[in-house]
Amino acid sequence: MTDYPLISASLLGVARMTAMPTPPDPSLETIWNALAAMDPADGVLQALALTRALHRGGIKLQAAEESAPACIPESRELLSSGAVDSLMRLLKGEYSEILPEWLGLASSSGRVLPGRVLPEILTAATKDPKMRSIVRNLAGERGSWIARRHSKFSWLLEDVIVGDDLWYDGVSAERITRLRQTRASDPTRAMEAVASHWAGEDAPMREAILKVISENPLATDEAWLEQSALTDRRQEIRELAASCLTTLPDSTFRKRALDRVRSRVKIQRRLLKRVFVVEPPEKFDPSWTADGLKEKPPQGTGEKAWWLRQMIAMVALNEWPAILDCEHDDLFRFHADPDWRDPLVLGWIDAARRTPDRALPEQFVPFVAALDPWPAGASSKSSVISSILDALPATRRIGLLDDVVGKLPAPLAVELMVRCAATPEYGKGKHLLQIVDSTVTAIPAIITRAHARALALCIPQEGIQQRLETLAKLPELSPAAEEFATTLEFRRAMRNHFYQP
Amino acid sequence: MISVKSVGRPGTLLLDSVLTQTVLTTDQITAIAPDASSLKSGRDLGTPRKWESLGGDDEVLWGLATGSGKNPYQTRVRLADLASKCSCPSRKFPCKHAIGLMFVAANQPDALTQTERPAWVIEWIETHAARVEKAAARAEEKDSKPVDEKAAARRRAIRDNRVQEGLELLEKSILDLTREGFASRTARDAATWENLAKRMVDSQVPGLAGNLRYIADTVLRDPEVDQELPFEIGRLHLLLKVIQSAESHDESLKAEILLQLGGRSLAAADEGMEIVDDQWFIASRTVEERDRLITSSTWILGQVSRRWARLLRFAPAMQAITEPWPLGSNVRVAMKFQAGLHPLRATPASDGNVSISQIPAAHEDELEELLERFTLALTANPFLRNLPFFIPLHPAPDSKSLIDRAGMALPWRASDDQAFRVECICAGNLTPICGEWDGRSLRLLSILDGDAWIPLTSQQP
Repeated sequence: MTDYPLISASLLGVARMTAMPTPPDPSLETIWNALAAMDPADGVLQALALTRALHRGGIKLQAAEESAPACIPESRELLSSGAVDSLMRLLKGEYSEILPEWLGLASSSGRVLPGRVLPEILTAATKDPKMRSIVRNLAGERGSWIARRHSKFSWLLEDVIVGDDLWYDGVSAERITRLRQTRASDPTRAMEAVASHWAGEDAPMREAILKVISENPLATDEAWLEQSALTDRRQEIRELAASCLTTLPDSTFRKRALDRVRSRVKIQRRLLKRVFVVEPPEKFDPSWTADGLKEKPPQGTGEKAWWLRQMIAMVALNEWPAILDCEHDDLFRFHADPDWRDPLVLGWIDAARRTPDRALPEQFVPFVAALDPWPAGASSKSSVISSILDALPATRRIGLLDDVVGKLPAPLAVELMVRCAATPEYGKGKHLLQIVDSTVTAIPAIITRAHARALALCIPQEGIQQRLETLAKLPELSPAAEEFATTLEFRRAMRNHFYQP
Repeated sequence: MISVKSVGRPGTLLLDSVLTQTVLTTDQITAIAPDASSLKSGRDLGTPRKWESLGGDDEVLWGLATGSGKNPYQTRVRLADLASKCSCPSRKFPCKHAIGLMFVAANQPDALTQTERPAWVIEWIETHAARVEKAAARAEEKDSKPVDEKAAARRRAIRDNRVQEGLELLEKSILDLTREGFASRTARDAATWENLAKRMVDSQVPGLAGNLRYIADTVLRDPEVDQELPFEIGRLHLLLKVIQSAESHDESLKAEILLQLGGRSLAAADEGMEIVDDQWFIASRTVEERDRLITSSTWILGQVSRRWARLLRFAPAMQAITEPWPLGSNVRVAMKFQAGLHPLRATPASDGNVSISQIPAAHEDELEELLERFTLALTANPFLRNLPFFIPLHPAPDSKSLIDRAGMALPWRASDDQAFRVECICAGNLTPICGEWDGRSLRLLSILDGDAWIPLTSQQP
C-alpha cells in the first residue's frame, strides 16, 4: 500500500492540486472517485482520515530476527522489594554514605538484584570501581547477560570463566579476565601473551594489564616489566611498573633501590641517643632515570633534597627495619639531622602513598598523626593517613583509627572518620564512638550534615537503638544531630529489609 | 491501635473496615507528596521519635508532631481519600507532617498506639461529615427546585451558539490549511494549534481543544510528522463532519460525539452507562501535568469480563491526585462505562475492595490477538487513538521492537532509559508487560519484575 501521492498533495497544498491523487489501494477506487467530486480540500481530508484508519488497522506483524539466547534463570533468590527500594533511594543521593553498608548486607544475603535497579547501580559502579566486585556478584547472570550487550559494563565479565580465544578477540574486560585466569594457571604463558601484544595495546588497556600484574607480581614478569613497561611513554604506566618491581623480592629494580639508600641513610649512636645520618647524593646518575627518578627538582626544592626524597620513596616502608637493622617500633622514633629530616620524611610519605599496603601502618600512622609541623610539599595529612587506612582490611582499619583518633586535633579526627567511615565490631572502637557522640551532640553544631551522615555509619547495629534513645532525651538537637539520628533510623529500617522477608 | 489484616510487602498497610478495605502503600504516599523536599521531610518525619503521640483506626490516622513551635502540631489523615489537616503553618498540601504520619502508618503500624480519637480528630471528622451531608442536601435541594425552563433554554442556546461558532471556525481553519499545505510554516507552527485550542476552550468544546494540543505537543514533534500531521488533521476533519451531522446518528455515535467534545457534555453521557462488576487488576498509571492541570490515567483489566477500562482523574497543578488503588493491586468494584462507539472510559460505582495479591495472568498471549482487537475497535470507532495491552514480550536486540512468544514483533518507541531498563528486566525472556498500541508503535507503561509490578512512566506530575 502506498499513500505517497495523497500525502504529497496535502503537504504541498490542495490549491496546487490539479486532480485527486491516486488511491493507496485499488479497492478504494470507487470511494476515491466519490471524494474527487467533492470540494478538493474536503475530499483530500476525508481521504486522509480513511487512509489513516487503513494504516492504523492494517499493520502487519514482522517475524523477529533471531536474537541471542536469553539470560539463564538465576539460581539465587531476588532481594526483597524493601531492600531494593532502599537501594534506589541511596543511588538517588539520599544517605549515599550508607551505600557501602547496603552493598555489604546485600552481598551477605546471598541474593541477587532484580532487573529494574540495574541501570542505576551499574552506572554507579562504572563510575566507582570500588563497588564493582560486590555489584558483579549481586548482578548475577542478568549482569553478565547485559555486559555482553553493552561494552561500557564489560567490567561485569571479569569474574566469568572465559576461553583462550577471548584474549585475541574479546572485549577489554574479557581479555583482562583471560589474562588473570592464565596468570593463575600458567604465568609464563600469560607473560608471553602480554609481551607479544604490548606494542599494539592502547593506553587504557596497558594500564589495565599493569593493574592485573600489580595484584600479584611474579618473578616471571620481571624481564618484561624492566624492558617494556618501565620504559613506557606514559608516566602512569612507568609508576605502576616500578611499583610491581618494588614488590618482587629478587628483582634487580628493588636491589638497585635498596642499594641507592643503603649507603646514604644510616643509624649512628651519638652521645646517649641514636640518630639518622643522611648523606645525600652529590650528583645525579643518569642511569637513575630508567628507574623513574627525575633530575630537575620542583621550584623551591634543592637538587640533593629532591634526589634523596625520590630515592627514599622508591623503597617501601616495611624494608627499612631490615636496612637499618632496627625494630619496627623504633623506626620512626629516631632523631634525624635537621637539614635532611624533611627529605627523609617526605620520602617516607611518598613511599606510603606509592605502596600503602606495605607502609607499616601501626607504626607510621601514629608517627604521621603526631607529625608537627607538617612538611611543605607533602600531600595533606588526612589524605596520607586515609590512603594507608584504605589499604587495610576493615577491622584492622577501624582498630588503628581508634588508636590514633584521640591524638589528633578534633577536626582532623572527624575528617578521617568521615573519609574512612566503617562500622567497628560491637564492643570495639571505644575512642572513636566517644568522639562521634561528643561531636554530633555539640550545640551549636561543629560538623556539617553530610559529616553527620557519614559518622552515623560508625555506629554498630547493636548501638543504634541506644543512641536514638539517648538523642531523644536531649532537650535540643542541632541540625547535624537531627541528620545523624535520621540516618541511624534509615540504617535501622534498611537493615530490617534484609532480615525480614 | 490499627489492626493490620495482612501486609503484602513492607511499607504496605492493609486495613479492613465494615464496608471497604483500604490499602496505604509508600508508593501512594510518594505520589501525593507535593514536591521532592516535602517528600524528604515527610520521610524524615516518618519515625515515631518525631511524634509526641500517634494513633489511628480504620478511618483516620492522627498524631501530635514535635515542631519548632510551643505546641505540637495536630495532624490527621483520612484513610478513604488521604485527605489531611494539620495545625502547622505550611501552605503545602499535604504538609510534611501528614506525609510523615502516613509513612509511620505504612512502615511501623505498631507505633500507632492510641485507639481513642482525641477531640480535635473527632471534630475534624464530624465537620467533614457535616460538610458532605450539607453538600448532598444542597444537591438534593437543587434537584428538587423547579427548573426555570426559559432560563435553561436561553443558557442552552447561548452555549450551542458558542459550540457552533467554534466548530465553524475550526472547520474553516482546517480547510484553509489544507489548501495552503501541511508543509506550510503556519501548519508547522505549534502556536497555530495552541491558539485554535484556546478558541475551542472559549467555545466550550475542551475535547476538541485536547485534539489540537495533541497536534502542537506530539504530532509536530513526531519524526514522521510529514505523514502524521496530514493523518491527524484528516481524523479531526472527519470528527467535525460527524459532529455537524450528529442529529442523524444512532445513540452510540451521539454518545461518542459527546465524549469527543468533552467538558459539560459528559454530564449528559452519564445516562445509560453500562455497569461491569468485576475483580479489576490495576495495570498501569501515568500522571502528567499540562497547562496547570494534572491528569492521572489508569488502565484496569477485568479478571472475569476481560474488559479494559480507563480511569481519568484530574486536579489543578500544586494539588495531588489521591489514588486509592495502588498499581499492581486488585480491586473488587463495579465500573460504570461511558457510552460510546468502543466504551473504554469508566468511573467506579463505589470505593471498591482492594487487595494486594499475585499479578494475574496476561490478557493475551500474542501480539496477533492485540492487532485483531485493535482492528475491530478501530472499525467500531475510527477516532480511537490507542488500546491497552498486557502480553508477555521481550525487546529485540536493537530495542526498536518487542517480540512475543510466537517470534513476531511490533515496533516499540521508548526513551533510551526506558529501553535499557526493560532490557535489564526482561534479559531476553518473555515478561508480562502492560502498555498501549496506537497502530504504529507500542508504548510501555508497566512491567513485572520478579514479583513486583512496576511503573515505567511518571507517577508524579
